[in-house]
Amino acid sequence: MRNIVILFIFAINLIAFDSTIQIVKNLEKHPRLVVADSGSSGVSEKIKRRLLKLLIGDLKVSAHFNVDNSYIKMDYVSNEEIAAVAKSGVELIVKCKIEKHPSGKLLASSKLVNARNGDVLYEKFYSISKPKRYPFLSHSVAIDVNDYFGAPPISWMKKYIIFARYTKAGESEILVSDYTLTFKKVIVSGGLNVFPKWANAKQDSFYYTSYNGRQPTLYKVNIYSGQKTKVASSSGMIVCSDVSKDGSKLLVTMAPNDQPDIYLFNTQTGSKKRLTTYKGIDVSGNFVDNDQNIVFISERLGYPNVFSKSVNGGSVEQMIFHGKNNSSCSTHGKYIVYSSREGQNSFGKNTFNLYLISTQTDFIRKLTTSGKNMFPRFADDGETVVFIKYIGNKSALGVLRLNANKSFLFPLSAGKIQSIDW
Amino acid sequence: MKKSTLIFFALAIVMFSGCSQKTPEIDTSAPILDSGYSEPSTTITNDDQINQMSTMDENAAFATQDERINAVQNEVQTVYFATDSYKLSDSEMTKIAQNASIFNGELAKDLYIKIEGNCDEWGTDEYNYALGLKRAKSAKDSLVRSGVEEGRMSLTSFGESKPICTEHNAGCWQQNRRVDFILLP
Repeated sequence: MRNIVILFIFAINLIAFDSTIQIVKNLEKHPRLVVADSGSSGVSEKIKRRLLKLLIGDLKVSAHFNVDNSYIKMDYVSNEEIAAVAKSGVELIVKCKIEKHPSGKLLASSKLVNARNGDVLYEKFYSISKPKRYPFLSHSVAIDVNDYFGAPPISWMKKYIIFARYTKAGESEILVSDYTLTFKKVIVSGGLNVFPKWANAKQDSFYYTSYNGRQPTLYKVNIYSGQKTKVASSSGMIVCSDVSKDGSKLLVTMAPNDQPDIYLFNTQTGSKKRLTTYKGIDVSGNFVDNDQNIVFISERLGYPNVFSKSVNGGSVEQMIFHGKNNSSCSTHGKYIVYSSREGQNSFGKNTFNLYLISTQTDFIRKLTTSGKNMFPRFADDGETVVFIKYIGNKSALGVLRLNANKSFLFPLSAGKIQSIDW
Repeated sequence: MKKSTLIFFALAIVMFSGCSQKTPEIDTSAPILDSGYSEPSTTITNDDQINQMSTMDENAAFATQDERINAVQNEVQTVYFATDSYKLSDSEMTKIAQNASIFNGELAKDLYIKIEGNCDEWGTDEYNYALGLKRAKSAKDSLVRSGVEEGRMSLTSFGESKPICTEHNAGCWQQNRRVDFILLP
């Protein structure tokens, strides 16, 4: 079984060599998998069902398994029912048992079972100190199932999403959540607080812009200690667009002279260097090429588009030769994902779509086909993109699995997402 | 005395008596050759005095500074922009000129002006915030050209975060693509 799945993953990787090539028809067979309810103690039926449903969702989002939607119960130890399940074509069973420890911790036990012969491929145990964070138990189980087969990692599922949401005119709050928005916690509230950005890969601190003082001000906050430090302020606007790999440098859009430009900000010395000087709009700087170059949005051709230049100066190079309104982008290695306004009618149904381009080829891949899809952000793996989808007054977090050509939407129950990072 | 001489004196009296009606506006001590330059300055001095008197009267009508600011604020006009544009149309330039007169008037000339750029809901990214800022900057530049002191003005962009209309139609979006002028003490 393991060899078959590894062969499948290898085949996927071969096809996925260039993410701009769309997989039109997937001929490979995904192993069919079912999640089994193996009981619970001290946990409400509602929480247990939610967790199992999340696990099914996680395994689907991994795009490496053919996940069965059916709800089945199965004893955690006994394999008596396995034959019946195998007859229906299921190849793998993820048994899951949930318990609440007297200390208050939420515990999960999980076994991966070969449905054909009943072999236990592995058994693992999980615990989380705060039961409200139960989605992360589900994500951890899914990551281990995926890793067992050596599939491309989905460890991004365990990362926190940080996002701002508008609550009413002139007011917003900042939240952290899991990637499905099931777990959410407000960490900044009161007034207008926008553009949160993780300060490092550890996700222990973040930057955000506060509009609650005389001028827009960029703060850095440690989410564990609550320590809040003023980084800089600027008239007009100030946004932390990107953080270098080592966290020592920021790309900040600010307007000390009422002119929005991109600045390289040294977090250790507090010094800043202006990188763009165009008299119009230059925003959304992203580090590329080991932080030596930036990709950014400029309207220097009369409409917003994607350009690049070195942090050491020099000429500006146009990166995208498609579309007439490409106002946000994210980079990963040689790939740029960007949002483009479509069609003659700015306010038609088909308004903003996401595209993927490689800087080394001429291929452009359309990632979404309808609606208003904006604010794309690559995950560390370069195979996954999150974005914001707007539907009327509602918004949803979208997850695109590039190599599997699949997308998933996770609606936000209240408020409207302003910006995201992960 | 000849008849023609009498007619000349009569016309002269009529002419001088007509000019005497404008004496409050003219500095008669100024040399005649410089009248083209001195008259405007004298006139402005008189206007200032009138305005000052008027200001004192108007101030007397407001119990507090907040009341005065609110009264002026109600006269200030919001300016609007086309989609994706930060260029002021002719009609909006006219509003800016009218706002400039208000800002430089006695009731507002000691106040600061916060210029807030706003956008419609079509965009939530940094670009939208920058677009709002450029709209505010266009309004500020236009006010400066209309004589408003630059140091009195500050800019902030709120992007799409402060809509005044939340319906989803073109008319509503038009209302949100705007620059507001907020008077501050």
